[in-house]
Amino acid sequence: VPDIWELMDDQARFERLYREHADEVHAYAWRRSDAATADEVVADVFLVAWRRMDRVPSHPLPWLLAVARRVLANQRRSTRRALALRDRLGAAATPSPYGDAGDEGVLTALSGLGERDREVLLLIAWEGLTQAEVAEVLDIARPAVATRFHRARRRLAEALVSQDGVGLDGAEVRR
Amino acid sequence: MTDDVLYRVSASNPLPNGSTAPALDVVLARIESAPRRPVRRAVRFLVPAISVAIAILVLVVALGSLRTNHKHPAGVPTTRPSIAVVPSGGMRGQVSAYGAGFSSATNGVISLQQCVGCRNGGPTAHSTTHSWLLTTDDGGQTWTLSATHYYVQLPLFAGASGWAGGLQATGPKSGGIARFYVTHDGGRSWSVAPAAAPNEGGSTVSLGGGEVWATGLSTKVAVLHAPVGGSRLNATASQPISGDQTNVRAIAGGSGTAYVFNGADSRQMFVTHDDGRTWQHIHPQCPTADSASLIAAYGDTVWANCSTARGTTTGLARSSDGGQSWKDLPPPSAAVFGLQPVSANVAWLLLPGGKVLRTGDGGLKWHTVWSPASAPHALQSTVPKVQAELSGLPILTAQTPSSASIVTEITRGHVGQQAKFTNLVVYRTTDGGRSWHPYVVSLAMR
Repeated sequence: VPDIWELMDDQARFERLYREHADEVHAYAWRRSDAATADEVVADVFLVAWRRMDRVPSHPLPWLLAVARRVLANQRRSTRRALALRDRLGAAATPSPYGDAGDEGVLTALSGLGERDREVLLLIAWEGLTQAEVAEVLDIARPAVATRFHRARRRLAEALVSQDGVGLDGAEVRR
Repeated sequence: MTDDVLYRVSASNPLPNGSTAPALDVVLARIESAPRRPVRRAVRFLVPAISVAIAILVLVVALGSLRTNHKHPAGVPTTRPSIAVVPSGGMRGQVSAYGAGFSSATNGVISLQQCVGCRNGGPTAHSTTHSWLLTTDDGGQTWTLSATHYYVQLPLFAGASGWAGGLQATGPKSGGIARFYVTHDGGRSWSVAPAAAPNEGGSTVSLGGGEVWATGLSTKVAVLHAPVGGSRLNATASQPISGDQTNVRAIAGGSGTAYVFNGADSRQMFVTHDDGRTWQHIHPQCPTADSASLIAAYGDTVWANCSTARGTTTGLARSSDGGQSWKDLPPPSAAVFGLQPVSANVAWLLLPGGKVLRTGDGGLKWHTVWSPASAPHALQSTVPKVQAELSGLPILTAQTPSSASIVTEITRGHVGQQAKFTNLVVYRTTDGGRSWHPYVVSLAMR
């Protein structure tokens, strides 16, 4: 039987973890899905956190977002299966993974990026993480983050220029 | 150029201001209902081996403790042992907190009742009851357990002096006699306080303005009072209510001030500002209620519960001038009985379901600051082999606008209707209920 002191310490740590980071995990999930899915993701992420309190690092946000990323990936796999079934039944098309808000041009350009490059860019631009934290979330080396970030920005700039027909400095671009 | 790209990506954030996650309670409920972790294959092989090793260890420890117990009478230590030496095998039977309170940020006391052989919460022909006192002088981190011959209910303190209504235990096979108790050492020891009229109905006491107030009953009801540092309760010079009344309560206000009301007749409400020499009639205005009862006071601020004939709370009324004028307030709950004001505007409230609310604006708005759903049982039940649950109503004692404590009983290992082991968890807050620190008072088998 586990020592009750350990349970209580976990309880206090867990509540604090939730108070301090649940909103950030929720926002991360919502930006990539919808409100209802975000609620589900938060519950799943913190269920994992409770079961692995001994592994939650002292700076926990990257760890939590890494779990959220895996939970979302699992949910998308099952959503894809559900949507494939719906498609076969003649139902609606797949919804945008970025919700309804935002700059349509940028969102379209983001969709054209590779998933790995896009995630690096969004973790920095939307979640406000540092490159070191992104490396933790994605479980890759920091130089790899820098490389992907640089590549993502360059490709996105090219996509936007191509889309708008106008350079970011305002000059018209010849097609 | 690429900085502009990053700016446009940031500006396209669908939730620039973030979002709000579901309440913690919702997630706790999800965790509670989640399936347990699957046992890994390696663990399956390890468990039998570890079980055998533990069984041998337990056998060795049990033999040792049998030798130790042989020197002492069953279960009742003759000295004040540390909590680390709870009787071998843990505190058996049903253990419940009879009362609890803190005299300061560091000194606290919990009065325990232990019933061995009780069934469904009641005594049987073979059951015995024992009374214990737990004390702490380091804010709840360590506790000392001692056997007593009394139970103190809702002990209240002013410095090292404290008062409580309670029961004098008359033996392990019998009940107890209602008494008033007083302490002058922060609650470590309590003695019976003589009173002009005995505590016949399990009355509690009320502290305020350096005085203790209570009601006693012999052939007729009597309002009693004493300086907090005193040791005997005297009847006031004049009595506001006469006759054989069993439902009269006295509530302390500021110095020399007390409020008295008759629960059987809501028209009988009085205030004194001269230590009970004279009494003035007061009358809370409860426009939508059938009756009003005084429930708490802090100096000249006095609170009344407005309720229907069936006891449903329809609102509260609060007076800031000793009961002369009243302000109607919305009801924080359908039943209000555990209100504890700690300043003119701040009060803590324990609801029948165990939730704790706090107001900082004199009762206009209430906020839930603690819920049984966040108690450890919700999480412990996800741990294999531990079936823990909260039992009984938590005990709330509020000391200041920022500090309060909640004593909960966590039972484990139910055998029929009887909890095999009980632990207490004392939650303390020093920031107005924003965060609570749990202290476990482990009475279970170690």
